[in-house]
Amino acid sequence: MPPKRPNRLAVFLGKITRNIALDYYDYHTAQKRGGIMLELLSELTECVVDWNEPSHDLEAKETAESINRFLKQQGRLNRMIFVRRYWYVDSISDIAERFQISESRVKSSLFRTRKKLRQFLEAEGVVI
Amino acid sequence: MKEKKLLRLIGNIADEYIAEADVVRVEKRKYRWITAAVCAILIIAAGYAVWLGRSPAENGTSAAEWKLERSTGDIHVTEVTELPEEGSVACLAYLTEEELVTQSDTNVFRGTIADIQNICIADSEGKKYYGIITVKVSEVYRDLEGCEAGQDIRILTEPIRMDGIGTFGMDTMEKAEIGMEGIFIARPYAAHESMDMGSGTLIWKDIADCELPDGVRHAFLQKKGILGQTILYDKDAYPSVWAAERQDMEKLTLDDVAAVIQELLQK
Repeated sequence: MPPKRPNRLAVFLGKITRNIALDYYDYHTAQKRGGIMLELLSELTECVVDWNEPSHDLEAKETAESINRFLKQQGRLNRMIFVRRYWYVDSISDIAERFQISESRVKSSLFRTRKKLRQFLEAEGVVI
Repeated sequence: MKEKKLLRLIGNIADEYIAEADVVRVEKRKYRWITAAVCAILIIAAGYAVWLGRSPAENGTSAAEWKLERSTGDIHVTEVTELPEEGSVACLAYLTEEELVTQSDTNVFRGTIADIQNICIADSEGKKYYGIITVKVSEVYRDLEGCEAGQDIRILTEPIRMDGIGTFGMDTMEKAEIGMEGIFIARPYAAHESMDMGSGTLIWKDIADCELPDGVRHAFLQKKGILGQTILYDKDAYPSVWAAERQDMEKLTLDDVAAVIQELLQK
């Protein structure tokens, strides 16, 4: 437990668990397993800004803050769909069922949010 | 790998957004009587608005209005979820399959449908409805202008009923769904290509990069179903593709369609 007690214990533990899961995935190179992780990474390719000229790399914390500023600007449902997909790693069908909307609507929301995220990161000069 | 890094970085977003998304499944019909009362009020309000014939622009409300950079006049483009009951049915001029594919003013490309929107273009004198599909291009078979792999291309079509009900006179595109892969024959818009509206001029490039000359014969869509994959296309317009489908007992694939198209393009 960190010195400053986290406000939301469940979220704090969730972040730790998520990082452990991603480490496990990296270690075991889930190429053979394929599935949702490859899908997510393929989708996030659209958000990665490719700068030719030398530029600055922000620290992880500043980049997360940029993403937070971006998320703050989004509508509540679109934001929740984005977080369910890329933080909770939910499938499209699970997200559709959770929010009682069609899978088309989920896909459309994710596509548009990714596009806006890329434009936002470009505008903020964020290099990943 | 940058995408992996981004996935990690998303892990550091604010706790409030993570908690916000951790909602229990939205419950339907929890408060039926409240829902029924709200629905009744909404129906009455919607009927009143329709009776008045006021557009969202006139009401001063924005229904996801699109910004038009080059168009002139009092034209409003908004995304819509409701479409009029009837659409126009165009008479299609007869063209051979070779003519359809080799028309000199079209790009021919393969890609996946990433988004589908229906829009209303309105001014003081009327409204027109169209569909815009965004295709992520994976392969280009003919590049007349501005078409390359990896690009997102917006294609203007007739409106697409995503509820699957009714038709605007199109057989292929009416079945389009997000996630479908397809091959498209689309005419790119010139920079100043426009449509005269009563109150101004709409520059097509403000809303789309190209258009399908018609949604019946200028697209092949791959549909995944319970029994496997099928290709949606106008069999009458493409006898070579239909022959390929009948030739073996194997199912027609988009690669088979691409082979026929490339053969036609080389003639």
